[in-house]
Amino acid sequence: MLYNTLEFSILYIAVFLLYWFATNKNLRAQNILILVASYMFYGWWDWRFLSLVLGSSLTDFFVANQISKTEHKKQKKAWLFLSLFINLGLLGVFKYYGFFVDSFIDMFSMFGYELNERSTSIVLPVGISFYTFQTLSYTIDVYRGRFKATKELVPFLAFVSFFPQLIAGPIERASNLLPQFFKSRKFDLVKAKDGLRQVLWGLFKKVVMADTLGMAVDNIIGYHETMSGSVLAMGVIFFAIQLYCDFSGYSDMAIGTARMLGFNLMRNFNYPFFARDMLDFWRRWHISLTTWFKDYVFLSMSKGKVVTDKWIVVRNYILTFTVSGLWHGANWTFVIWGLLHGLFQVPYLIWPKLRSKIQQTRPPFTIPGTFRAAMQMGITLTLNLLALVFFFSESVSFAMSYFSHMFSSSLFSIPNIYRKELYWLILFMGVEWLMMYKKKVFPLQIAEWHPVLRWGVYYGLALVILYFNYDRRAFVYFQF
Amino acid sequence: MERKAVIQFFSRVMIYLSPILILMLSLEIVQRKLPNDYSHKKEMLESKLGDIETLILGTSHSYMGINPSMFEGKAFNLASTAQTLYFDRFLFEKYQKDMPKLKRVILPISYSSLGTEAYLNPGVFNKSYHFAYFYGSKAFINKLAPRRFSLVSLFTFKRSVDRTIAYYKGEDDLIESDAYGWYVGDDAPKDPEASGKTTGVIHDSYYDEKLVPDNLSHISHMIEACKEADIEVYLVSMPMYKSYMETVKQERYDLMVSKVDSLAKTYEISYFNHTFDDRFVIGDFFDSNHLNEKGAGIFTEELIRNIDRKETLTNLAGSSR
Repeated sequence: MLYNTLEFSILYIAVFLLYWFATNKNLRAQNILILVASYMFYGWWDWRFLSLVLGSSLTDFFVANQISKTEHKKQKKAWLFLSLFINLGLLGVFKYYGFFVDSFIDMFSMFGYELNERSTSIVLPVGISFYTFQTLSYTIDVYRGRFKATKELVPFLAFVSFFPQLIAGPIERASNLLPQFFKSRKFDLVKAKDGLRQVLWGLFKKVVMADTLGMAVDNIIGYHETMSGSVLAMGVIFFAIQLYCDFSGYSDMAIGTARMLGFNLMRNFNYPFFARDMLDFWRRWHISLTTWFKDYVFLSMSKGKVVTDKWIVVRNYILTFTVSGLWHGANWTFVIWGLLHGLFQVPYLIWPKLRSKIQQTRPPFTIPGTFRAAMQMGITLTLNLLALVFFFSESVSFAMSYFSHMFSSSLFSIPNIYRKELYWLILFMGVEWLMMYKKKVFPLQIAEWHPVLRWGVYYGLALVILYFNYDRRAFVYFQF
Repeated sequence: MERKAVIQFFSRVMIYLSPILILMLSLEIVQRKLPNDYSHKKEMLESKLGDIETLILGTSHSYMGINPSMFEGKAFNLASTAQTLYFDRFLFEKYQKDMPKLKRVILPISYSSLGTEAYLNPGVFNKSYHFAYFYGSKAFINKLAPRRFSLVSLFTFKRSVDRTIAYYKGEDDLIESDAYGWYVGDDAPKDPEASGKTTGVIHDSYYDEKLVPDNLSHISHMIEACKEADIEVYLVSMPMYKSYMETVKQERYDLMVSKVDSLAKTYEISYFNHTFDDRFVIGDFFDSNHLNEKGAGIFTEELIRNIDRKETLTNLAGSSR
């Protein structure tokens, strides 16, 4: 069920009305309603995979309680490993089985052994990477003693499967979301309006920006051998914005719909393309995943201690980013993409002054400051774009072919196609820049505007969304 | 107090949405009043069912490439864009009993036919909904999809607006087929040399080997139903321009030919394969994989001659690369 469909609208309106009228002031009933709606939402795609969500949730509910009960560190660890084994095992089977089998066969063939059995493809349950990480974070936090295991099953099941963010995040921490299922929720008109505005903005990003650019991107990538270098470079820029609008659009809709039900989800994007260095970029892009990897992978490697050896920090950074690349997809291209991002961090880790120098330039900018900031953003963006070629490529050889066609003499020709898409992109990035400068969480925070102007913007956006809603695509991050 | 706030919020949302809903409803009413090619074709077909002797099925290749008015006796071209073998069978089974004079069915099978199915195919997915809307096909996963009930949703808001404006400005009569179902639209032709490279890649991207058995089964069912009713079946592969065939995968083409050949032999029917027929030159093509009016005339004449000869022509001149 996609957010931009009638089915979701019907489900959401029904849940909203029942939630605030029929079950209001009855926390248990509200949680049951959320749970039923969440399972309907997920089961709409394929009801058989509900067993995975339920299985994963029950495992962590049980394991976390066992961890809480026992005083022995070894037993706690054993329970944690059981949870890791089950959750990562399911993820491994459904997401990485084919990748590992095929890589294994390829490795053998390099040494002259031909194994003919290729893996059979297994359907990837939508959102499995997201809810697995969410439920795992709960168990790890309980193990680390940061969070008490809950004894109430319904709120926990609702926390894992909370439909606004179930299939593409933000990946919530138990410490933020789970307590909200235990607090009575009051309808807040201001927050609800803000939530609806965020949904509208998310829809705009998805339908108008991501889907429009997506058509151009498909064309450019699909026929890259026939395109000029400049069009291919434009294709990478389009893909970057498509990916951002698609994914952050989903996050906006998730945060907005949750807000209207009285929940606060974490911010997932913070104008990432205006980052001035690569560390800054990862503090702005897919924040919930970055912080997840920081807390549960990066810090686990240093066992929570301060590491003084900078080369160990470098190694840990590179490993964390590489694993994060693999999280995105079972393909060597994602591994390379993650590895590249790990390598991009190295200069800042080796020369910490480099980063503090970059961050010294702060708004309001002087003319040289503006120039410097623009250069820094340009370099960060260029590095990002280069790595993104691996992100959208189906294989390493495809990425190489794309690079070789892009870095040709025609790279400096003027692209004469996709002008309309280019104008939309420039307009969009302009709005984003302005709103970032005004410190808005999302550009449509316009409650203080005159009603006529405000409603004009709402209707303008609705018409544009309707007009562009002709190429209904699934969200890119659903495949992760 | 809280309840009041919820009501206030909900009513504001409704107020906001009502002009949009009114706009959509008005556009829906307009769309239902405007002519459209599917309803036109359906109407034409249903008005002639009792007289039809030759039925032409298939995709846009036969829709544009076989002129029904050249046949002796009444012929109807029921082919349309992205009409896959599933829908060929669906339409045939839906109307066969109402066509008492039906003598022959021409079933075109092109390069990608065996590996394509519209409702599984994102590129032409919406076409499936066209069949659902106009012909009542049930081949869908999602029965609640608005496209099954609303023309605006089916055509999309953008196309509905564009269609309405074009119609009332007199730029387009929105009908692209004649009274016998043949394509007479005014789409701009494309250079066959250039378009072949891209179209072949697109068709290949939709192709899924897993669909081959199902599609073969659709063909077999149609042939068996025809045999039972004493109706002749002719399997046909339409001419393609070389730029298109140079792009697509040879093994898929070979698979198509061998499977269709084998079906023709099993059921003792004729298969006319003109895919590489080099008698068709660039001037006969609308684009890389469709004939233009002139090419359609030549092809239909040739097809009628072949039908009269009733012999299988698997490998016509220039058939190998």
